[in-house]
Amino acid sequence: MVHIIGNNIATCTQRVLLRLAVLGVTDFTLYSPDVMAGEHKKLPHTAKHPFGLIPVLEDGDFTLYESRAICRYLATKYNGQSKDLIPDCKDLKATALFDQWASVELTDFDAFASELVAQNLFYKWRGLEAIPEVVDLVTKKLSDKLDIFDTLLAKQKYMGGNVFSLIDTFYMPYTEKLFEAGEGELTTSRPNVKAWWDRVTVRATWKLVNVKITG
Amino acid sequence: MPAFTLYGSRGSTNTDRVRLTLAEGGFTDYETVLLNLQKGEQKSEEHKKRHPWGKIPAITSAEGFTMHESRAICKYLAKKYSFPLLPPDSDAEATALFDQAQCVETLYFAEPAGKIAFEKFAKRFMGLPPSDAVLSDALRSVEMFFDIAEGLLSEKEYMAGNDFALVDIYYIPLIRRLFACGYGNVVVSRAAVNAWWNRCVNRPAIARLLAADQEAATVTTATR
Repeated sequence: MVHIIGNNIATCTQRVLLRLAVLGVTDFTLYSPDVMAGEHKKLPHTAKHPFGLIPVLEDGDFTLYESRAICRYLATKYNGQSKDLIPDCKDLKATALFDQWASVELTDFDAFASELVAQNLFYKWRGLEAIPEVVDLVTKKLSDKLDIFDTLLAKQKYMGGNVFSLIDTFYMPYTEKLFEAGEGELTTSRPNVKAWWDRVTVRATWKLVNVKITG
Repeated sequence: MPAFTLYGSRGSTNTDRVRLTLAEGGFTDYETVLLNLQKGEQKSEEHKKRHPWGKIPAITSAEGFTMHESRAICKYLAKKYSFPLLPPDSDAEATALFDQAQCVETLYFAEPAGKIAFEKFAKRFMGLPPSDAVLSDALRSVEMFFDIAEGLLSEKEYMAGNDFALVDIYYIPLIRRLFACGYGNVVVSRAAVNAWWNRCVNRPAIARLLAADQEAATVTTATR
């Protein structure tokens, strides 16, 4: 049984929980460290994650961090149960394209979406003010990138090609958080991005994992 | 006909990631097309067919297979031409630790280091002043990253374990850029990081490529 250390309202943990849901794996344990008290920045957590972050996976005596690495490990481990596709490692080109789309998510989406969500949402939770110049800059950058995503999604139905895959799940937590941060229009104003979002969020596994913060 | 064409540009850290990988693998059967970024050649309709975001690098094989994203290209080439730089696919744990190390490099190092490179290097070519606020914030992140890396590299020789791997190559272009921008101290002031760095850049093929690039850059500057 794998053990996850993370919080179900945290985007990077949600990536992993979504992966487990899509794989149909319910046999796992979840421990939520007290992030507000800084538990993740101290031992024993930092012995598992030197950078003091969540999530972390423990599988027997194997420890792994980085949500996307964890997702890929789980997809390989539970490949027999997987209803979606992760390319066969012997298919060089499919694997290369998978790596390409995974890289796009990090550098053309996550880099800007995570900063915007931090400014407009996470800062508020911590009682801090957003920095207007940073918000303007990352909003513009994210908008420009999403314009390209809109043309891309006119040619392919999902972020990794024409089938729902691990790549889509990498995007989903922060796309959802953009709505919570009041930036949902970035998605809804672009017809193909909106169509992709509607396609991926209608899935039962997303509804299972998506936990909104109330209050 | 060469096996593939690499589209990149001079001095591009992302292109250099691929060139270093090929040098380390001893692979020479490819041609390089250098795009002029200042003229906006990377944003041409022709190039956008290879890279929707109009960036570099991208590769096109002789059979017409096209892809972009430097780290994905490096992995593809390493697998296709069997460079000894990746764990075997059959080893799920070693593969996962490689993926972990790659995410660490991209998120905790390349993101802030890339910001420093943009402010101090790229902006010069655009005639724009660097932002002190962005620089100090990015430098803080890079220092924090290397503080943790110092601990990790005290226990293992390379970023993904005890063998030199592709993920070590990923760091080289941006660390070189940090040196060029006057921030080399982040490496040399940390014993284990410095030792790792020297192990990487003194590898014969890498040392040769870096020396050749240095010489080409000096010639270009001298003849400008």
